[in-house]
Amino acid sequence: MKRKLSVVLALIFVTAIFMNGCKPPQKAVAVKYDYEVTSGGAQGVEGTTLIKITGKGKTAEAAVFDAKVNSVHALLFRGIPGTNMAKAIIPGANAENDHYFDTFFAQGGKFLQYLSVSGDGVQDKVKTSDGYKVTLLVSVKHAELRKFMEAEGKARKLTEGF
Amino acid sequence: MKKLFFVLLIVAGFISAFGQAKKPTLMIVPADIFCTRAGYTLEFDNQGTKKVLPDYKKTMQNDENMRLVITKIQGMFADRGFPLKNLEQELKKLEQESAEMSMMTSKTSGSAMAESPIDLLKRTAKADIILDIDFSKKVNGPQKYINFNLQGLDAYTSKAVANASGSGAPSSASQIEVLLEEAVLKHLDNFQAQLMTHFEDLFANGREVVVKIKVWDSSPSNLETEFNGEQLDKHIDDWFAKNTVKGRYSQADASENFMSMDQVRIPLYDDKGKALDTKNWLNGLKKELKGAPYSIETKLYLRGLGEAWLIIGEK
Repeated sequence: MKRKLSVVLALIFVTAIFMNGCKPPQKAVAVKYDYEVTSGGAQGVEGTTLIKITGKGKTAEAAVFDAKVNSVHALLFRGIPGTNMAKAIIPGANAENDHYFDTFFAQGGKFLQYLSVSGDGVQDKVKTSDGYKVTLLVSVKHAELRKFMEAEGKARKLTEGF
Repeated sequence: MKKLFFVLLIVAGFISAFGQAKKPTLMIVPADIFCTRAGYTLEFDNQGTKKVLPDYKKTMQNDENMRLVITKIQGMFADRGFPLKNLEQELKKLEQESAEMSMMTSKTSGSAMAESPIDLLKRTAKADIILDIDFSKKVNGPQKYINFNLQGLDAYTSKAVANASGSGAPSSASQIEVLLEEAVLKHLDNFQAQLMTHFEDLFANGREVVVKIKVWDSSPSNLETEFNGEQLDKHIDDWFAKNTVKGRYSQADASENFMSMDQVRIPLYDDKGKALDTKNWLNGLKKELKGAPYSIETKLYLRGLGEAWLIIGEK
């Protein structure tokens, strides 16, 4: 009886090891927009917001591009406390999952029309285990960006419903 | 077929025209503290008590910084498709209207235009949301900075629906005009975002208004008069529970002669999709009270977009 039980237990043990081995390797869920953002100081021009934003990439160029994407993303979906855009242009937890933004934020996408890198380009560049992390000072044309999003039906107009 | 198409087009036009909720009016008004600090005030003797009131006309005629700030804010609102009422122009318009009314007579009998004391009182510059603004220049050693305070006040519920305040970055070189512009640019986008949240709440939960039920002295019935075994105030209370959005209202105070309802959430549209205001909405209660078993005549008195009184007894 004891022998039978040990055989069954051994079988269960072997099966468990076998099943676990068949599982595809577990991957960490990639975070699409992972950045730090703060106010870049007093804004100079009406309709713009100056922010300091980080970006990550395998190369320094990819990290700069990521920072540019992040700057527009931050204004659209997060809002930046301490600036004139403390509230997001498009609030709502799932707003950023709209497939429309895959094209908008693509390489050469329309988001590039709404920002300009201020100062002397990259403010800070750090080599990390995954590549590079850069910090940019970016001026985002939030008024034009909001108007565009309103026209596209993605952001609510102040007068909507009236 | 063509005819049918045109009829449908006209119907669609009507529906879209009626389907728009009534847009609240916004006006920037200098804060009392600003006028008092700068000495732009009016003084009058109210039965022995000296009253000091802000003189808006004097403010607009003398304070160029206030004009600059108002112009800047108006521009930013116009850019968002929400033009504001201009206080200076409203005051001029009222003066002009008063002058014209006093001169106007009818051709046949020479009669002057009818105007009750209430009509006279109502002819003031008003808006549904008042943007109450105050700013002051502060000095810290060689540097100066601006203290800025903007409040969006719902004129009827007296609630602050948006606000923006803070001190600007100190500067020793910039002119006061530049610092003021910076302050407006720094705060106005966030202020508009808060206003948008207020509008979203309005669309989700209805317009918040104040309703007061009063009784004429000559009225044969009051709010404690019984109909079908229940007091009139209970019938009115039931009507409010049935006709407000999600039954939201609160009875702030009541007696046999008055009922004060605040935080009354009225729908933006009626059953036919037509835009509703407080008067149209309260007309429902007026009609109900006129019918059986009440047969009560009432007067509906409107105080702007957000407050109405229903006075029981007669018109």
